[in-house]
Amino acid sequence: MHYKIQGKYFEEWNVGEEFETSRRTITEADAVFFVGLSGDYNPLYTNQEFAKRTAFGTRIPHEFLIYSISSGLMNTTTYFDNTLISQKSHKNVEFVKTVLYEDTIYAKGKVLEKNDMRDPDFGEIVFDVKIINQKGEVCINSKRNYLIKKRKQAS
Amino acid sequence: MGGNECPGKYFEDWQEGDKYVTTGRTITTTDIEIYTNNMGDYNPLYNDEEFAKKEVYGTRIVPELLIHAISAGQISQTQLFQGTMLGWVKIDIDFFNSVKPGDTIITKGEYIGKRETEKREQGVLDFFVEVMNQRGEIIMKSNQSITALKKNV
Repeated sequence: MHYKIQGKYFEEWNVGEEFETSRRTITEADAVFFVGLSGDYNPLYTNQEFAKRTAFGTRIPHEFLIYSISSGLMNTTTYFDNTLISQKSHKNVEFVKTVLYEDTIYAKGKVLEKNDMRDPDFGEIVFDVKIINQKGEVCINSKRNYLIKKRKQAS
Repeated sequence: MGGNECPGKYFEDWQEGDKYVTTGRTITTTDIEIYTNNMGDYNPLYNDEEFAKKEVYGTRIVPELLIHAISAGQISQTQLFQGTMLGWVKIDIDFFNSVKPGDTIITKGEYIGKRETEKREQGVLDFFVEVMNQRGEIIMKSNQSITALKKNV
């Protein structure tokens, strides 16, 4: 028995189509890991005495941790399995509401555009992706240009 | 209270023409593994060498968002933003070339401008950022806006 590709090919997406991912709770362990991996030791994320003096009054998880986790959550839909070739652009990424420790987030996506690219192997899809917390508040907006395989290229 | 917070540049300190260049970081398969395992951002292009060998890049590649995260770390390590950067506002990122395990990237930033906000003690700073590899090839270009603390309020 061989691996069966679950992802959607370029032809199978429709403009206007929507999806939601599963949810993940953001922990201090996630946040500390990300600081270490990225090397971004900004005191907002690492120094509680400094962070007490900011608007949130406490350390926050790195905004890019939340963003990367949302990319992982999109995998849980299986729609991108083996068919996502490149995350070409992330545009208009707006950090509108801070995600705090122990918040639970998910991503909500919608197909805005499909561009054929005149390439037999792949096309470009523009997704609107919002990251939403447990209160239903939009925390991060984004427009993601993904290169997705075309079915005729698949063997 | 002890310790020196060694603050970086404040909102007022950034002037037209200000630039920075970071040190290099060599990205490894270990970076790819721990990033994908912890973020759940799996893709056989990142994780499956047998699959990746047969695809357009010829080998596993570094996840795009990991390049972005490491670049943010390089920017932080210039210490220009330490204790004075209060958060991210907005970014736009374009990726141009893949990064393969063993490649080394550097980040270059240029101050573009500043804007006031409704909060008196902080403002917004805009930067244009480029990431390139050891061959000088452009990997990523990004427009970035952050909130920065004012020195004189």
